[in-house]
Order: sequence, then C-alpha cells, then structure tokens
Amino acid sequence: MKLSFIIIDDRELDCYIAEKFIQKTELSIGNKIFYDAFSGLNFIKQTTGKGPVTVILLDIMMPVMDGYQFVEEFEKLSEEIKNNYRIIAITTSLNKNELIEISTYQSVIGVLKKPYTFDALLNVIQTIPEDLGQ
Amino acid sequence: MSEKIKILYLDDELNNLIGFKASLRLDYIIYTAQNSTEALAYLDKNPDIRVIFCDQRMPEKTGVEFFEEIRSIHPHPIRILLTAYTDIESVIDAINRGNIFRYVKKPWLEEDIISAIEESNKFYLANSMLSIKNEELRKAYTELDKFAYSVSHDIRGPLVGISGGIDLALHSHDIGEIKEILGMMEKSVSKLDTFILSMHDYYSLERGELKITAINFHEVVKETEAIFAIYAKSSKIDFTINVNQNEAFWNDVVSINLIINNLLTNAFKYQRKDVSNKKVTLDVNVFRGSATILVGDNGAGIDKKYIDEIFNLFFRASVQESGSGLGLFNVKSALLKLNGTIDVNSVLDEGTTFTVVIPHK
Repeated sequence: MKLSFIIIDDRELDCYIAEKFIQKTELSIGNKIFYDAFSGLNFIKQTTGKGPVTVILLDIMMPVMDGYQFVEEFEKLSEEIKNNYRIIAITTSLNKNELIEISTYQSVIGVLKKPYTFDALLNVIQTIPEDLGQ
Repeated sequence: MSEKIKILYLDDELNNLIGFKASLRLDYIIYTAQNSTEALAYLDKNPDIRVIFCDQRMPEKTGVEFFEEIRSIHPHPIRILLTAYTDIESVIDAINRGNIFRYVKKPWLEEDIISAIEESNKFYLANSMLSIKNEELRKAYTELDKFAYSVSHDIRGPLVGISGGIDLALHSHDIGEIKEILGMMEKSVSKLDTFILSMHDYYSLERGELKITAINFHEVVKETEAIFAIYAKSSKIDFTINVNQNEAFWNDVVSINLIINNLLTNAFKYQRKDVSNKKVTLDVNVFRGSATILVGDNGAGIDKKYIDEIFNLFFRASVQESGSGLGLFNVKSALLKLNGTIDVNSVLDEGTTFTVVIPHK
C-alpha cells in the first residue's frame, strides 16, 4: 500500500515529528506540510481526487481556522475528492466531548492525542483497507 | 458624599412641589413633575436619579399605578409613596404592586423625608454595588473559561511538542537530526516562556496598582529602541522614533511601556515577507496634558472582518505561530486603567497604525 500525506499543524516542531513518523512507516510516496488549515484546504480543493489515497494529519487547535472548521469545509467538497482523503485528527485537548465530536465526521478515521507514539499512528493508518491505495 | 443625590418628586399640587424643593434643594438635586409624562421625561434623561417620591392621589393615575408602570422601565430608582390616606388596603397595594421602599405620611416632616432619602440611598448603593460585582464576576468567569481553553493550546501545546521531540531525539542516532530537533524544541520553550510572561502582565494589570511618576518619553523610547534595534537590523526593518515632549507628563510607566512594547512587537512581527522597504514608526506627542502614541507599520495589515475582535482575550487573527492572543488584550486592559483610548487603522497588505491617547494622571 502506498499513501500520500498532508500535515496541517501550526507548530513547526509537531510537523517535524509527524514527518519523521511518516517516513518511518515506509508507506509514504510524498508529504506536504501546511502551517494553517486554510492553505491546506485550498490545496485539497484543487486536487482532482485521482492518485494514491492521501492521509491528512490534522491538528484541531489552530488559530483563525481550526480543525473543526476545516473538517466542516472538507465535508462540503465533492464525493470524488473526499473519497481520496482520510483524516486523522490530532489534538492536545483533554476534553472527551471534543474528541467524540470530531470523530463523528465520516471523513475522520481516527483521533490521536498529542503526544502520540509512532505505533499509535501506524495503528490508525493500518485501518485503511489495503485495496484502496492502488 | 461628593456628588449630590438626584431625587424626583411627582405631585399634582404645585405648592407641595415648591415646598419640597425649597427645603431640600441645598442638599440634593431635586426634579419636580406635576404629571407622569413630565416625570418619565426626567427619568429618561437622568438615569442616575436615585429616589422617586410620588403622591398617591393624583387625577390621571394613582402613585401606585405610576410606580407599577415605571418599575420595569426604570427598575433602579428607589420608590417612596407620599400619602395622607393610610388605609390598610392602599398600603398593601403600594407594597405589592408598586414595590415601594418606604411610605411617608402627608403632611411630611423634613426629618422623615431626609431619613427616607438616606435609607433609600444606602439601599440603592448596595443594590448597584451588587450588580457591578455581578458584572465583574460574569466577566471573570468568561475569562476563566477562555483561560482553561487556552491552557491546552498555548501551554500544553508546546509541552507535548517538546516531549514528542525528546522521544524522537532519544531514538535517533543521527547527531545532525538531534540538533535540528533541539533547535525546534528551543523555539517551543521560548514561545512558552513568552506566553507565561504575558500572562504575568495580564495578572498584574488585573490586580496591580498604578504607580504614578513623571514620565520622560525621551527616556522611555531609549529603552524601547534598545529592545527592538537588534531585531530591526537583522530583519532589515527601518525603525524610526519621534518624540515631542515639552511638558511634564504624569502616569504609570509600567503600563505605558507595556502598551508601547506590545504594539511594537506586533508591528515588527506582522510584516510582509516579500517587501523590501519594511518600516515601523513610533511617534509620541505630549500636548496639553495628554500623550498621543502612534505605532505604524507597512506590514501585513489586519483583515476587516477581524478588526472588531483583535482586542479580545486569546483572539488571534493570524495563522502565525507566535501569537498568544494576550498582547492587544493586555494593551486594552492597561488603557482601561489609564482612561486612555485606542484606535486602529489597517488595510490588508498595506499596513496598520494604532493610535493611543492617554490623559495625564
């Protein structure tokens, strides 16, 4: 299985860690980093929905546009584009309601609490069916 | 009591009004009205009227009816009924419907009126103090909520990043990579430190006392210049300072420094990357007892839709990581304490100018 990755997080260090973990999975054929949700969303809007499945590592708490707003906007995109993405929500929040709320979106396949381990990330990625990213 | 208490007296008999005013006008500010329309006009114009005296027997409506009517529109003034008829029914009515504080018998004695006014005033003050305290409590709770929320992002955020970085570095054998992680961890640490420092500012503004001294702005900006000069040079930003002060100015220097430093930090921080003639200006003018401070830049500007929110606690209009959402909030809190004002003029991609006016203390 080959996957593409998008990291959306306003913190440089967190992006760096995510990137290292992604490298370690040896599944990635390329990753992009966006330091704000808006740029990330704009990039996704312009994609065609073809190519390998892309996993989005999405930080929930960001200024201006947070992860919730991002997911809301993402859900409005065409089925074709949406089918090509899987979102993993990443949060520092200790609030259980928030964790539950974000996981109710169809496009969100998992929620990780910072700091998360490589194994935790890998576990979520492995829930993506093998035959998808062909 | 430095200010005279404002009192309204409504009675259809002119002689009563004249007598009332004549004997009390030296100690209180008295408004008299011969009908309820007139009385209402006084209440609308003077929301700080504290006590209302009203005669019970009037041709258009009774005193109880008048009180019943104004209770919902003007709930704060204390209501006192004046009457010559003291049958139990009308007393019950006055209390239940008019919700009166006192009942004074006609013809009244001056001592009775004065004691009624003083008691009413105490009651009024206690009530308004309570509502001020309630308002303060409400504000404190809202801020506490915001704090709790921000703790997870602004304090816990960098911390979990750092612990993630430590974990990564521990498992790495590449010294170059480890150094790279350490560099980023250092940034997170200083970000956390900045946040805690501005929380300290927040706390001292909320609870601290002002220390008024003579302020020489030429001295103040010397320190400021020293703080920002290195940054200005390394980021190639032209930083000009102008001070015009020919008179003494008394105020709290800590608050003034906080205001200037926060505004300048923003001016330097929110620059446009691709512009060659970056500039930041600081102008201080002291004239006729007030100081006008202008902080201008030709940087990123603020989006119109966020302009009303920029002074709110933990609001951030930019996606830049370095904002804490405390800076402008602290500026506003400081100005509130100094009775100052702040105006912002900003155009996206052209620049921002903040104008602060602080009166002499």
